[in-house]
Amino acid sequence: MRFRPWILLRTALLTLVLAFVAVPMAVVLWTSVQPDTYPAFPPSGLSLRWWESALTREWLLPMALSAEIAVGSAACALVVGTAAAYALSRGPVRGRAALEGFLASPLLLPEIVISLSVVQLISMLSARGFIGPALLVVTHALIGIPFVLRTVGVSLLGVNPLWERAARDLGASPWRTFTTVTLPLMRSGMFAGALFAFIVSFNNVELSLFLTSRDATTLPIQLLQYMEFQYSPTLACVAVTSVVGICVIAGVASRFVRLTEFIHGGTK
Amino acid sequence: MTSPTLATRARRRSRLPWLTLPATVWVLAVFAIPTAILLASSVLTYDGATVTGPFTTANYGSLLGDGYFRSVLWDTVWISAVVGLLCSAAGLLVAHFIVRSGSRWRTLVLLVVVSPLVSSVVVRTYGWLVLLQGDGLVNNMLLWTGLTDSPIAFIGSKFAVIAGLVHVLLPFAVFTAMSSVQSVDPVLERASRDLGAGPVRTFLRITLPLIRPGLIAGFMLTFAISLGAYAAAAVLGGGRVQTLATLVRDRMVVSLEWGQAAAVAVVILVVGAFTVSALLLAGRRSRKGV
Repeated sequence: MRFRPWILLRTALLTLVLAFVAVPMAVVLWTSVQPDTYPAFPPSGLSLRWWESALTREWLLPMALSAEIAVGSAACALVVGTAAAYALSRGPVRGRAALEGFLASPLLLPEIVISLSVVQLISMLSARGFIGPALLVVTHALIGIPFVLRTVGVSLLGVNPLWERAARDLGASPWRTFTTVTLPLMRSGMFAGALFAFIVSFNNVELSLFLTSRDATTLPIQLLQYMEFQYSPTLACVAVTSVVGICVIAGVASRFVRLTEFIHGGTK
Repeated sequence: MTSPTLATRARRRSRLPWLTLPATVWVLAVFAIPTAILLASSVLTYDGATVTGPFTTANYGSLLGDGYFRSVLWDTVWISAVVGLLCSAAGLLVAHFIVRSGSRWRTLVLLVVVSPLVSSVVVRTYGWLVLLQGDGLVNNMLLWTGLTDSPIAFIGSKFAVIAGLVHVLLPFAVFTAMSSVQSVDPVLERASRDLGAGPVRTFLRITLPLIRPGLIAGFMLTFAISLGAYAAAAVLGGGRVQTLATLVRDRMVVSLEWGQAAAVAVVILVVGAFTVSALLLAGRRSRKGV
């Protein structure tokens, strides 16, 4: 085989990019299980001492709150988004593209701007009492809806309207047709959409930036506030815990759906 | 025989559009109306956190007249542009490898590139914080190997902010580039190779021009997200690098000048929209020229 320098160059660059991506993630993991405040090079040993201060109320409460908000907003996005996706794929075509674009438009603006506009509107209405978990659920669902719309839309592409018509012709009621034919077929899209909505909410920083209060701080916001002013390996343990949680949820979910199907928008 | 079914189908159809109503109301109430009001109120008089008065251009006037704001604006724009370029280049490299190479490492590469998506921006920023601290791993390593005598202050430099942002946005660039490389018919590349062009020349003359719209789209996406990204600038900038996003937060929380915060937010939108439309226009013109 001919010596090909460009393959060598590509491999070198690719390795560099992969290291760039993987090293910061590995470093977080490493920091959580070593003894030094600043992880030493060469490594000095293993220790779980930072976990003691990580698994305390101070961090577990925001984690639980983030999980609750994520479940709530994923559920809202799932119901509202699935209804819209179903109507858009089965309803009249007129105005469909415009409506789809409108419902996906929150993804186009920087989240920090959305957060700012929501908090300014809330205070204009003198309703600052609303700032808290419920408002976070409502705002996070805004970003969840486009994901559900997309994944459910993709799985509805695979549902031939003729199958629904066949069920109707054989005497099933519209509701029965929906629950026995359509719903099972779009279930994997709903699952994937809800999962994406959950992750987007659980990890969200910028949308929550102005919408958290002292008694309702989400995990990413609390981490961020700590990091801005002090440095501690405890945060590595908290970070690892939250990532492991997400991985477990995604792992369980991927037993039910092939998530990669939805990443490219179903271009099989 | 089919007419009753058609009739019921028509009836059902006419009710269907109502199902889009909850989502539409949601997006209107939480997104469209608040942002419209933000745009409108950025030209009203604020007293601290409350809108008090009539139309004024003072919010913008005091911003644009401020040399500090202009330097923050310029920093944000070029940091975002560098991030966009790096993401597009690295994204294309990875995407081309995954889609075209046929190597058995493809799945692994995709997995590594996608894996940070399970963690939040904050977690990834924290990884960079550990690496780039004064007593952090990179400095440790540099001192240990004797490449430097005293620790380098990475935190608080634009380099750190750019590294953090590229790390966060690379997966999006890879996805965008993958779909545009996939859309190129491999037959065109094979034809070029059969006619005697080398792989590099084929890539530069055939593949690259065909995927240029996708590359531009990837750049626009990562550029626009960088403009409003908060976490990387706040943490890795160490309080010394200010971007438009940290400035919004500053005006909101620290100095309580909500009018200025609204104006900065509008500037973020305008810069993003201006760049996107300029690139779209340039893309359309160059395609016509071909």
